[in-house]
Amino acid sequence: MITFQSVSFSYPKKKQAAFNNSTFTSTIKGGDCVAIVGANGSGKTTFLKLISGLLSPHKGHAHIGKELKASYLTQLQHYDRIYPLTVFDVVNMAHPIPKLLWKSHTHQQNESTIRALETVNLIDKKNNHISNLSGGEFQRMLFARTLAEDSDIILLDEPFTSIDETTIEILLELMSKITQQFNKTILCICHDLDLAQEYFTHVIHIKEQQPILYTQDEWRLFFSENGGRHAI
Amino acid sequence: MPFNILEIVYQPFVDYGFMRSALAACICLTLSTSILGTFIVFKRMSLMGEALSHGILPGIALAFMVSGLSTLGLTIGGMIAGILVVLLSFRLSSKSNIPEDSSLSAMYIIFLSIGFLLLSSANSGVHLTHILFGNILAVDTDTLLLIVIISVTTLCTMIFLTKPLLYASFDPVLLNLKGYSVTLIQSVFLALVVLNLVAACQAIGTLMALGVMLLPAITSRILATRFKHIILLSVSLGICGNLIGLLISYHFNLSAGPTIVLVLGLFFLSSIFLRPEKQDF
Repeated sequence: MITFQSVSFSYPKKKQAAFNNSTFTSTIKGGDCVAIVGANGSGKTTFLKLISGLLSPHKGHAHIGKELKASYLTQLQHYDRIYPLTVFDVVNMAHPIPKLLWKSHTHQQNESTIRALETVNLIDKKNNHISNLSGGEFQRMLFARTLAEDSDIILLDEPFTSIDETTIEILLELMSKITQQFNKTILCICHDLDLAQEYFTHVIHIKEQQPILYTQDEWRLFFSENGGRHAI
Repeated sequence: MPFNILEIVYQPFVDYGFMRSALAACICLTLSTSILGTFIVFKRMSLMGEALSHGILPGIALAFMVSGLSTLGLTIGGMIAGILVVLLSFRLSSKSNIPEDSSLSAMYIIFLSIGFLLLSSANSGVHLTHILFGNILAVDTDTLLLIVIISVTTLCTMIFLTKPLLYASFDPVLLNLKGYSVTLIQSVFLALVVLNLVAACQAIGTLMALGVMLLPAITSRILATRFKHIILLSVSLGICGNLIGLLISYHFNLSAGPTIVLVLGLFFLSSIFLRPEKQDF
């Protein structure tokens, strides 16, 4: 599903490479919900960007299976919340862009958008402007877009930042529903190690330029044996 | 009384060819600049617009020194300088630790100074005023033709570019994963902005060009909330502002460029008080 072989990558203005001849062996499959953990600057976002193709490695191979479709949701603060769009407009962006200015999406595409909004319980807000949404609702709207895209793998870059605990639980339940009911795979950068232990089926730990995959039980063992939070 | 008002509005255009040319130039410019201006506001690129509108000056000045007030020469010179100011500022920013807006500000001030220096050394006060403030009432056939060509080119390109640009401004990552080149889309957009600023410069001058592009867009952003409405309102306000500005400048014998921009500015200030009470954003 994920290829990450002998990857070297560094950013132009940084002396230290984000990845240096790093290899990640993956047994991730459909229905898995994977947390990506690591210290600040360990390369979590870079890892997601490399496998999604948003960044190209200087050496090696990094990609998601060619037959699989991936969605990438950036951190919430990167979205312009006062952009003149409704919830429906944003979720409809999942579909191919109409070629000409006056062309609209097809009836089937609009129907799939409606179904996605129903799944995330935002159907009653479909005509609301995005500025009227709370952080959690905004994130649910973006989840709906990935459902309408019918992506096999959903990559989430810190979706819980600036979101209260109750809403995080709602989002986690939704993520669980997406993976189990629709057989999607979620890779989610997560700073909260308790959440990572409790709600995810696997954990990818990135340390010293090396991503390593753990099952939930393996991660718990590793976590307790290596001094808890100091393991990061 | 109604007859007099009508006469005030249409008589100048019936009587004088230069007023008809000015109106045609204004409408063509407004159709394209208002749409581009809307995206500049959406993308929060007003500083970029400022930099481009002033950064084109040395190119125009050099072209003027080589080929006089040749429409094609001024256009090519302005285009090259505009693209150069953006490329140099991005290069400067990537090679140092300064943010892009700072390098852009630094570069456009340098370009503006070079432009002033070149124009003043050309020793022609009349032409300096012409380039800085333009003269929409003296638009010749060549300039009008250029404005029409640039306007039509912009509108035709925007038929294909509007939706990808909308996506690129809101979520460039999504567009990238759909297989579009965000860099290409933004480069084409910037090229259109430079082209339109160069055309606007020749009509109302380099100092006023950005006003025609941005003021209707900012005003419509305050008054409307849906994407389509913002664009339509921006074009309508642009056309109204240009028409009213032209008529005021004609009847009160004022400089046309600044009058048009002031009318558009008045629309902007009024919109603050006229905006809907319960605004969605």
